[in-house]
Amino acid sequence: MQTSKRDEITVAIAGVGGQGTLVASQIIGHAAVKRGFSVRISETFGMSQRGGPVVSHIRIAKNVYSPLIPLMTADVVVGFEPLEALRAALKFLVRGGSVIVNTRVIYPVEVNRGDAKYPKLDKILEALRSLTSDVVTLDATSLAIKAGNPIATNIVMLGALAALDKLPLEPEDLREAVKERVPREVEVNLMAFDLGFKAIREKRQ
Amino acid sequence: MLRELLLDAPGKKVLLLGNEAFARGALEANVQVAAAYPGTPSSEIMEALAAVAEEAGIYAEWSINEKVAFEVAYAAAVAGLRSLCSMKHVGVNVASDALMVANYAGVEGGMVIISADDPAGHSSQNEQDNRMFAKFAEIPCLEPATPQEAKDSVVIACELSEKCKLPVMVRSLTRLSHVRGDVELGPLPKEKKRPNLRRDITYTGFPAPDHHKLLHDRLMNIEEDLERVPFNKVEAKGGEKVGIVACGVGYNYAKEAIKLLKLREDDVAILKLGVPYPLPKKLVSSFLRSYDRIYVVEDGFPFMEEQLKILCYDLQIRPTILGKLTGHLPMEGEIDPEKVVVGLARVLGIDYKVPEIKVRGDIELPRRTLSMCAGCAHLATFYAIKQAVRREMKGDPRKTSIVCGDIGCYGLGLFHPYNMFNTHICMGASIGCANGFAQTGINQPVIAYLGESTFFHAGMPPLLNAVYNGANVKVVVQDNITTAMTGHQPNPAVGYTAMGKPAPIVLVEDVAKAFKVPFVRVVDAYKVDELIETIREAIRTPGPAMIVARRLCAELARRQARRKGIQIVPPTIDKMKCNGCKYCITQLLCPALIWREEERKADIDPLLCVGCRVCNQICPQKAITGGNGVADL
Repeated sequence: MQTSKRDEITVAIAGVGGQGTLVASQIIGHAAVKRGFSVRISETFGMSQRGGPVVSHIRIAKNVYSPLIPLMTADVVVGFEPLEALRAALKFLVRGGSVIVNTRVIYPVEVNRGDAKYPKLDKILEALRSLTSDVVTLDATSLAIKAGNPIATNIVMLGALAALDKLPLEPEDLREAVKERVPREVEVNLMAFDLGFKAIREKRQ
Repeated sequence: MLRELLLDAPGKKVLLLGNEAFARGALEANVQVAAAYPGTPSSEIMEALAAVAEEAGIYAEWSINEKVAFEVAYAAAVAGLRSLCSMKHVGVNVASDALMVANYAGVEGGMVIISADDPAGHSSQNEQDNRMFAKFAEIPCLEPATPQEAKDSVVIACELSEKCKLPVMVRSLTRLSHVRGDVELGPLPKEKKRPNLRRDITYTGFPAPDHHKLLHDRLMNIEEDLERVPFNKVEAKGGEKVGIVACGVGYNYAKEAIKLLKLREDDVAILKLGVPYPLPKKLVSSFLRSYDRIYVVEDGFPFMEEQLKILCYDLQIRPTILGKLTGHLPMEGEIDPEKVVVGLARVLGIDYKVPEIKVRGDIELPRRTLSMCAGCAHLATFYAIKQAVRREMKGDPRKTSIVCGDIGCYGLGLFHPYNMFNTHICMGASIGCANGFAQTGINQPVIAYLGESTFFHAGMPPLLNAVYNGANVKVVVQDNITTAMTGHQPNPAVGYTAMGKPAPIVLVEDVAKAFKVPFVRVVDAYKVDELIETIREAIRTPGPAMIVARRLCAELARRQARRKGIQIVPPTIDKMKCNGCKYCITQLLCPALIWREEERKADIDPLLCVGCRVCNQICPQKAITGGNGVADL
């Protein structure tokens, strides 16, 4: 399902509970409503997802119906954690879509206990590349630390998404939305956004 | 988002969470009193209202449980004001005692009960469909489909309620309460109403048969109004033989299914129903008469489906009704675009395959189950209970404890790898069940485990019951000074109200002492040995006992440490001393404790660790030392 990139888009943000996927999706949605789009963002939150896998379903169009992304129809999967990026891409990515992956690993409790093995990072990336040729990676957590707070990993990823140029929004719309939605530590967040943006722009040129 | 709630800009579009839209709707409806007990997926309604209540000139509170919340809102409505109470689906069970007579007694001002149902039990222990409760109580029920309708539903419900003088239920779902969408704002009212109450036998619920008749008459009075609720709408009446009846959020999936099957918009007729009870009979009857096959799309029980079948019998028409009862949608779990499209394809006789998910290559994706937070004091308490029982039983493997769990973050203790609980049913049931186990004459320590908010909600009566009836129960209260699971709402132990006003602090141990519990101790939950020894002492002392293990929720503690300038430095693991026994990882299960396979040693994730220093205390090799952070608060 190829959609015109400028007026209809579906994005899945995948990560581990507590990584800030919720805030990131809210920022995108806020910017999209300001641009006059109809928006649906679906996520499960509360204690129930703490430490577990989370996927934010973001749908932007003239008319949106289902708040959940139908299987294999997301134009972009943004993975805050490699394993969760793959899990979500398998389920939601439209074949040939785009994937952005933060390379910093968070081990599931099962792996620490020795009940399961965490796949090697290059295996995960290889599996992602079997789904699409458009896979970009970045160490978003290190960039967030560089910006001043590891919590800003989500904003780094947002900057990276803006650099993909797939949203029907300008990067400046998102920067504005960051300022409005996360009024605390604006400087740190804007720097995080720019670092993520640059990391992907440089790779794409 | 909170600025948008007070924005006086009719026609402006903003992004709101479904629950925030309900809150905005309450403001537009001129609701003046609102009360709730937190519970996912309902909590953000009151959170949003409480945050703006003062500025909006209304009253909002976190009540100690849903029954009280209902009664607070009910009384305000009896006094002629518009009011709202919100709760998760199982909360209505608690409120139902009052609801089942409040319907007979009626209201003056509009009263709305928002029930946020949770099909699939994302954060709940069951999947109950509270449209059944609306029918049980014989009160009208609205079911909005989108955040926009969520906002509008509160205004419509208030108007209906005032007209029929009955409380009105608005049924939400996780996929509405927790969905963000564009919402066009309506006008905010300019004037507040003043309470006005006369003494009238109507409000007492007596005499019952007369009032039951009154209830039925009141429902009849709004029959025509229910037909005209704007959430009901017929789309594409075209000449096709198949009609879809879609209720609430199901409408969105039905529309998506039509898109996925690449049908034209008017290929299939849709009756979008926003009033599941009582049915807008004229509208539904005319739709049912027009189609041979009806596909019913709804989340929860086959509630509409059954009603439609009954209506067809009365109308003496025989369309084929397809839905949950015929296997065209599953009877359990939540519906989604795939389930609805598969059902619709079968109804239409179209070949449709759900995309198959396959991993290519030799890669296995490990599961990632939910876990407790790093540094959570519940982890220390889980550990302490297990250790205390083990040591008291002196390693006799046949002897273990009975642990009754409760509703809260620590509910995760139910699952692998914690496996803490024998029972886990509803709020306060830890102590209630413990009472029962203790009275069976069982020769094992009976331990109940719950948080302070749950204790205030429903734990006090069973504690007093234990004292009065002499039940040998050991109650461990994990007091983390907040209602953590639902997003840190204050409760009587916290010291401020929903609207941020200072409040007296009520300590759990003071309640226990007033109840004459003979053994009451308070322990710092991060002091593991002291906790273990105290629990052991409680087990050895016959009769009811309470141990309050207190520590601020680790998430709040991390923020507080940051504010106070306390640097979080994880403890150090001496790699010479660590022999890779994994005791810390397998016994404490703190997510910050990670395993380095290459060196076969434990390690600490510096981004997750909050510096509670519990792992330092339990390492058998004494390999973990130092560190600071929340332990220093």
